[in-house]
Amino acid sequence: MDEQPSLSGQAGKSPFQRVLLVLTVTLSLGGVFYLYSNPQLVIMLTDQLWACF
Amino acid sequence: MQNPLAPPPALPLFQVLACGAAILALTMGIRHGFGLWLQPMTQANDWTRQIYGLAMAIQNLSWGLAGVFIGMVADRFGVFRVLIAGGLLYALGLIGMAYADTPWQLMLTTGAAVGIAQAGTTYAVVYGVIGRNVPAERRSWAMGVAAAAGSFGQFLMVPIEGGLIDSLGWQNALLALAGLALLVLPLAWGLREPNFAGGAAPAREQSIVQALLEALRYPSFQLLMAGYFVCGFQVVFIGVHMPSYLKDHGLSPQVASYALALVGLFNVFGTYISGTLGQRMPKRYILAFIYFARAVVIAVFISLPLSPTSVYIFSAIMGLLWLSTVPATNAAIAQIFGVAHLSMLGGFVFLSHQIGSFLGVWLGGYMYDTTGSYDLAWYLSIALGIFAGLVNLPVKEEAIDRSHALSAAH
Repeated sequence: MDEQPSLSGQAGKSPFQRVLLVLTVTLSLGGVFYLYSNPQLVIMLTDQLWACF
Repeated sequence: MQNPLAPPPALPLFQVLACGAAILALTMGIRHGFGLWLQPMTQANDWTRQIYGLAMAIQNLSWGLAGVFIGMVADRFGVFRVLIAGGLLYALGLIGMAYADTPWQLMLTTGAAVGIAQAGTTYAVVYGVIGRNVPAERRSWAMGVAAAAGSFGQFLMVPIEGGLIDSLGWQNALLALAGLALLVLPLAWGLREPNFAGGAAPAREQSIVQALLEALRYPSFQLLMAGYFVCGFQVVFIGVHMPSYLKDHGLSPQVASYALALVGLFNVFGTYISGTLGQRMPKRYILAFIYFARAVVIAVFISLPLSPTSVYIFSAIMGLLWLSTVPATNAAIAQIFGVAHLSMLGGFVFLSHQIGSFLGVWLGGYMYDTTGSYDLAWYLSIALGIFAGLVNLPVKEEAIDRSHALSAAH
């Protein structure tokens, strides 16, 4: 059976599923961004970055 | 028009997307943090940085060169077998990197083995299975989702790999990454296409050679390759040389680190948006916009006084434009040539991307060494951006008409 053509992955999802998806994506991206803002990690990363050049 | 010889989609959409996205997040992510091993490996083995740099250059060129041939194998024998071999080689390459104690061993493991493994586990191969199993109405969007996953993997793995080196030491961190690379094997199971069962190739209207010659002679394919060359040049020039550009202008190391994070974060959105827009509007306009926008953003960035704020704004906008060319370029190729040889054709345009990447790194350094600044390299990036925007505009996205070739053959 052919799938219904839709222009994005959002089509066919309930409002609850959409909110859950947006929350999951936001939390994941925010969590990773937080890793970059950890001062110890930033210092270590930048030390390594500068060492490359 | 649907190709009567094209096999119907065989795998469920969610399965293809989940497994393809997870594989890309892993394989693109692992590779993205390799710069973090430069200092500990060169210190431990008493190597120069050039040795490590040469291994990375070999890796990038192996990735591009092997991509064409691995794409042929994936189109002929199925993506599943290629992913299994690629995942194993990736793990072996990382284990070899952990124990390499001569430059030649480093070139062989980090350079050749990991480079070939990347060709067998990243975009061209995964896009082949997406192309064959996702209906054309959703293909560009699906490629955008997969590219966003690859971008997220790059964003995620840099701090994780930094943490692994910190907690386990550089050698054990590589072994841990080898374990992660092996996750490709179970994920590949989800991309096992029934049409390739038993090693039989599905019915096709063209041989590999015919498909390759047709694409290489087709002006729109040449234009897409030219655009992708510029993408590689700009992205790698900025990624490699921007930290030293910022350092030269007296900005603190933290600014470079946050800039990296912003590029990674906005790259996730950019790739997804590009793929989704590809369903609604011609992909040549999306690509032309991306390249023109890069030229404008770079021109504004180098014209204004440099400050942390200008770096963060530049990084966020460049992040949006970073890998957003990937779904649009590959979806255009699928639309023009069909999906039977998509991995090989995707591998071919990626080779052009990798040659551009190599020149971006090398010319950036050469121009800096000869002129004492990055100005000339920035100007070249702007000019190339305008060139790539212009060459993408006349791309013909309609499916290629093979009726003459087919009637001649009968």
